[in-house]
Amino acid sequence: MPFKDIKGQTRAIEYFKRAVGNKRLGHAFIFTGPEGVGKRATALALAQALNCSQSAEGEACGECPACRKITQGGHPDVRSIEPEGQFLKIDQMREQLQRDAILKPMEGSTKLYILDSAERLTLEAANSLLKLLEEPPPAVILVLITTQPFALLETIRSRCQTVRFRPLETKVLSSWLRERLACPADQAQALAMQSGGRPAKALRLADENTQALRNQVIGKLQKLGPRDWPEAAVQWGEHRAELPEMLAVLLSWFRDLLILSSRASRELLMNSDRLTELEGALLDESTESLAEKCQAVLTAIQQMKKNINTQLLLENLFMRLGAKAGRN
Amino acid sequence: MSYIVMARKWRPQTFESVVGQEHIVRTLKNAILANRISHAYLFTGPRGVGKTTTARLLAKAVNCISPVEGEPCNHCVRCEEIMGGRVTDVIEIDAASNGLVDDARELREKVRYAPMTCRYKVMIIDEVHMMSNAAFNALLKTLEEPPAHSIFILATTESHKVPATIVSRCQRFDFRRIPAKEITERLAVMAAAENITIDEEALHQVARGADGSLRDAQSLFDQIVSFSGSRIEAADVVTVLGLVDTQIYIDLVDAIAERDAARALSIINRLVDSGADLRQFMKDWVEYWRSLVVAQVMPDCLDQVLDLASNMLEAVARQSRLFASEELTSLAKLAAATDDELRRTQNPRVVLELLLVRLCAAERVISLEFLWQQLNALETRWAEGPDKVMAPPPAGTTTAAAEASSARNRPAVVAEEEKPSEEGEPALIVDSLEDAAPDSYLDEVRASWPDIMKAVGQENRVLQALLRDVKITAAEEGRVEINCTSDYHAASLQKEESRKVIGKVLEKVLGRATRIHVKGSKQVSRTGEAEAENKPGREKEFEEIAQREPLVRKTLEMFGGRIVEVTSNPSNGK
Amino acid sequence: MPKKRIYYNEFRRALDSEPVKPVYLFTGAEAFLKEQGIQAIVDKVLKPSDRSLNLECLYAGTDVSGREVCSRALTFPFLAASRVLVVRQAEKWRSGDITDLAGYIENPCLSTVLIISSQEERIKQVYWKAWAAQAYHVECYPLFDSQVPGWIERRVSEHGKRITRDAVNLLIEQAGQTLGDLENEISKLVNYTGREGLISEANVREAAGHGRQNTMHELNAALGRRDSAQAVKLTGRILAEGVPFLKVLGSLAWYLRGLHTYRIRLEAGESSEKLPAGVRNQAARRDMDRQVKAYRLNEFPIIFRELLRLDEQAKTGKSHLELLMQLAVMKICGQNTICG
Repeated sequence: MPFKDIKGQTRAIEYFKRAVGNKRLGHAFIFTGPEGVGKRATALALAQALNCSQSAEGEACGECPACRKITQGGHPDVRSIEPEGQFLKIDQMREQLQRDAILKPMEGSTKLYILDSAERLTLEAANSLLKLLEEPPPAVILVLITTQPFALLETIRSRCQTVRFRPLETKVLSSWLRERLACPADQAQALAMQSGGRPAKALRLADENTQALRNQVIGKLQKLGPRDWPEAAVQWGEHRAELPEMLAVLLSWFRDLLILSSRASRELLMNSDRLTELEGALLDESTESLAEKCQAVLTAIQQMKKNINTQLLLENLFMRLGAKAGRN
Repeated sequence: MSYIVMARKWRPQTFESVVGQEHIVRTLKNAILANRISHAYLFTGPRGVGKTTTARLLAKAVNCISPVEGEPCNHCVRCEEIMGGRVTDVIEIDAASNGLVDDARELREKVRYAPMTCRYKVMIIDEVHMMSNAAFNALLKTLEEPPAHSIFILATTESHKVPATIVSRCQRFDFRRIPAKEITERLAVMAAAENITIDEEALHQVARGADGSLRDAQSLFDQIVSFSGSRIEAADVVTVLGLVDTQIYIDLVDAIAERDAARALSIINRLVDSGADLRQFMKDWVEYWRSLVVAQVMPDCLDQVLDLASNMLEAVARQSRLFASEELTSLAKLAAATDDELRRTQNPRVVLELLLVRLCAAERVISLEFLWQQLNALETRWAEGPDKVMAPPPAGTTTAAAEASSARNRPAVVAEEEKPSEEGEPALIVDSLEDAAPDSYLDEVRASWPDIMKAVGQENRVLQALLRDVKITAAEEGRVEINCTSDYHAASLQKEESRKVIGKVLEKVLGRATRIHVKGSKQVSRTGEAEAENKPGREKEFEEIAQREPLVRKTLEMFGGRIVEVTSNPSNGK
Repeated sequence: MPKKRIYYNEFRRALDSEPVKPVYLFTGAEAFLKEQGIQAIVDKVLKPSDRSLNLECLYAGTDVSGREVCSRALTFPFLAASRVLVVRQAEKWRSGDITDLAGYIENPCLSTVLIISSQEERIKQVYWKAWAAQAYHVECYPLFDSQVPGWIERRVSEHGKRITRDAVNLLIEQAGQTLGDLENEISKLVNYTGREGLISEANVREAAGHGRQNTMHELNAALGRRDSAQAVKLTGRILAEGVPFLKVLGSLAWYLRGLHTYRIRLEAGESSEKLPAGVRNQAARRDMDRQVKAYRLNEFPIIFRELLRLDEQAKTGKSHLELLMQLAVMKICGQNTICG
């Protein structure tokens, strides 16, 4: 889809349109920003703008064969390279990139290579790109897409132009969601805040099942007295697959409590559609103890990535969460 | 795309045009003039500062038919060939992407034969740290018996990964980071040549963003020009580079100083909503804290010490006065540690918010001594009647006393992670005269000690308590030396104010102006204690010591608190 | 003739005055001297044109076993009078290899010069006892602190130049005392100064790539005065200039270690003769005398702990190393004051 169809990202798109217009487009880019905000779409739109037979003012038409092929992923000059398993390996760089890049474009005017999840380049693979990034063959553009720019080698960042993709503003996303989902304002707001400005994620969160899960978690939180936590640890442990999402809800919950306890504005809440429950839960807790609980959930989330025994993880977490709150 | 990026377009073709490496350039030119050329060079340094460029220049210069003052002439046959990359005698290899990693033998083959057209066969190996062990070995052999007429130039950003055996055979040049000023100058030259107008401030921002690398600066500059065309304003730079409004750093620090969590959180909300990268923000914010630390240590001529715009300098100067030195140190450290955490987490926003809430919830740092003073005041009021203690503190007393009457207070002290060993606790620098000669004056002083203590007690009860367990080790006209069994007490007695008070009393009682010198006793050292392993142990130790202090005990009793953390202050050994 | 164990200088004199021996063993940590020694032998024995066919360099352990060395050593030279076989990293050999070698060494091939180089300081006596008279054992220990300045001066004069004492001191401060590193710097300095015959302190400062004002020397002096403000400022500037973090840390450690050693010696009642290298001139000595009193002996554990922590932070990839170093410097100077 051409530039005009991408939601948000006006800055980045404006940049590319001008660069193409001024005939000053670089050859190596890093697209950074959170997931699901349009990085890949923009890369493809750029390919279209360069290869479209009928582009006007930096905008591709979207209709011609070249544009269509690019959208569908079938254009021979627009290649996407993805990690094989965990990593992007040096063999991939050699075969899919370096050998291919020296050949002239087959159909269009410019070859565009997209490296997805560029932070997963192995050290050798990354080093092998340095010369290519610095002095690529003519008519070649490289786009490295990543959510973690600092995970890339400094020497790579140095050779590319970094284009930042931002999440949408909460207000903008919220009103878009209201329309799109036909839901009440506070729910749209909650989704917008929880998704961190990412439309794709907001839609995922709005899904029925996810919402049901969320309701469950919040429901349980209300009923848990200090003695119920140990058993809850067992119960939750049985839902291994859904744990990450459940922990995410927990995190947003305690974080919201912290926000309220600090007397910050209600606008900042991620669960603004559950205000009453939040306020109820707030009564007994001091800011300090809430901060500790929040930290406990953060730690648990980190630990989940490290393959720590789930049962132990939950028990530890719940013990900290159930600890006697309150003032001295 | 016929457009060539600036980094390539402006790659220097003579040594003189290399930016920021004058010491290296001069050495190399002179080497060429004197014909003292090494067989092997190692160029190391951060990214984008001129290593590859200089390597290529060196290859040209040694082969140039008629060099001028050590510079390549750039129009003889050799120079043109080399610049065009058409010469077999100058080989440039990228150690990482090349098959060199696999096929080490190829390396030896390439240099074995004499050069065809050039005087020297030059082999430039870039990113040499990526070579495999086999390749390193082959290289080493070659460097040990280098073929005549061959020159190796190895370049790398990570010299510590190159085996020492290879490094020792090269003449090693350390390329340095390029100061912002030189980057700015170069950019200005480039801008002028390309007919681009750009203002001072914008240039500075680009230079700062480049962080010492000229290539980064050129790349950023390129990006901005692609966006803005030939007229660039500071706002454009902010847009393209995604810079954060620096006012945010200032506002956040103010919010923390005022312990206003709500405000801090709202600022973060705005920050997130504007789409800023929180990790980048945190990195820059820690730099801001660093400015505060520096400003606190040297409040004069800040503009020379810190590379900031003038509005920022004002803010830094003002804010550095808002915090106690210890507090600032702790806050800065905490911020730096959080930055590390931010890079690893999936929830940067929550991590940041949590940090801010904690910072705003922390009680202000109260020194133990300050607390003692307040308690002393309280003690006096206590003597007047228990009800008086709970009375609202008189106007003008500080926060500690005011907070003492609130139910939620604990004497929280912001912690430092490490506790020094007792043996190593430094006291203030004091001269110590090891004067052990028996003395009648000494006896006199000892005899008067109870009176002295009483008189001190009238001024300050705390001091009186501290003087109870000292030993008078030396005395002479105008000078008394005492020895404390506890370093804690010693440190406290050494404080300026304490010494003044005691000095006054001594003068009164002894009849002449007398200085007091305090020494802590040397405690028995605990052997074999590894610092890291014993951290929790030490913490306990400190807590015990703190708890033994009668005043701390009283505090704990009165307010039902507990010792959260104990901080050690090296300058007075607390 | 009994097996000779000699120091490097003696070896050079012997090489000049006596015929070349068939076997040499170089030991010790001073790698530069070993290489110089090896090169001197090669230069004496083989013309450059003969080297490609008659000079062989091998690595013990990875390349060759002791036995193989023997068989290669028994090969005759090709169109030359002698053959030189250099084996490095001999510390990697095991007893089997050494026994094999011992056999050769007792009865070496006289047209071969076998040079063995090892990192070890002390060779396993029991092994080398087997050696007969034909070998020279050259010990290349690191120089004493007091010998380094003289070495530098001699080296510079071999290049046809002179160097001031201040420059020597500064050079040692910046480059350390490993001869290889010093040689690297000297070689560059000789080029840097072009046609001038004298290497001055300013030259050393400039060629090292540091600005005029901000040398490590001044930072150390600030520490010596416990001038927290200056120390923090200079630390910031030096790091901002791009001097590698670990290099700065190394320099701080070197200086503070020097103070510590000096202090210990003073308190033990020793004379101030044996000062750390590089502190030879009167002014520097007065500075040292003053600075050494700045820190009490019992403060050094804390100081070294701070330095260790900085090293750890650098090597575990912590960010904001400049900030951490500045805070550490502040703490060392001991100027953390409490408010209230």
